[in-house]
Amino acid sequence: MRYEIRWRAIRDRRGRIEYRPLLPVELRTRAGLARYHFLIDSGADTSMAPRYAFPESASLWAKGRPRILQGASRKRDCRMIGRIHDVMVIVSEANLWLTLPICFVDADVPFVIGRDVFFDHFLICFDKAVLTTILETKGNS
Amino acid sequence: MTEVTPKGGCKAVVMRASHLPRPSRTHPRQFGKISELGLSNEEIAYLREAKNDDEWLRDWSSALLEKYARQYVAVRHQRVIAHSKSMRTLKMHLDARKIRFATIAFIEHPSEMIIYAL
Repeated sequence: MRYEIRWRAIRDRRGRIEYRPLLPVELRTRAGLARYHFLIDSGADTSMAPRYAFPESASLWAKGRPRILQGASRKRDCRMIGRIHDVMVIVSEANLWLTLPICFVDADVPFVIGRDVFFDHFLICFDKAVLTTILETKGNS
Repeated sequence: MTEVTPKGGCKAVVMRASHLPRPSRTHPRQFGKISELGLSNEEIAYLREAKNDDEWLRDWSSALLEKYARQYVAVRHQRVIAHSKSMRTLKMHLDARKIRFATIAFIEHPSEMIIYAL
């Protein structure tokens, strides 16, 4: 199946619009659903979100697999520690759910979908000319 | 499996490639249609209506962007229901008010050059 997701427009002060390949994703919390916009990033090894987006009980956060993340700079103080949890995410634009490993970081980090698992399920094409991300499920998904 | 003790004294466990965990064929399926999840009517209704909140966020005026710049906002029914400079405080507001469904977005300052949007 093939799904087309329009890029999200972000307007600056001068009215100029920047478009980004963001994917709306719902995380199922204990009480309901929380919707976030994740940047699809083929350069990121794994997916990432702030710790407080972790949908389970806060006490379970520490049970995730620890991971040191290195950001844009190689400086030591740019390193952050996160915990990887396998969480169920709902991609309502594609009418699909999947279990995705996400590194929840104890800082206000960007919401990013990296290659791990997500890129195993979809062929992904960024079509800037029409400001659309095309997700195509693979035969084994 | 081999245990290695580096100079510092703490033990590291080195696993041979043959001992690394392999994906299991019997592992539960990790991908499927939303209809398989058994979502409640309320959850299904939210998934439909959340798209309107996305469009509303997309159409914000410069004044609104400046008002909530560098903050996380929670949106429902095309209204800002909570906002804060940190995700932690925002979640505390939402939990305290028992808000179960919301779109959460970070509003960048309109004059900033962004590589990774929060």
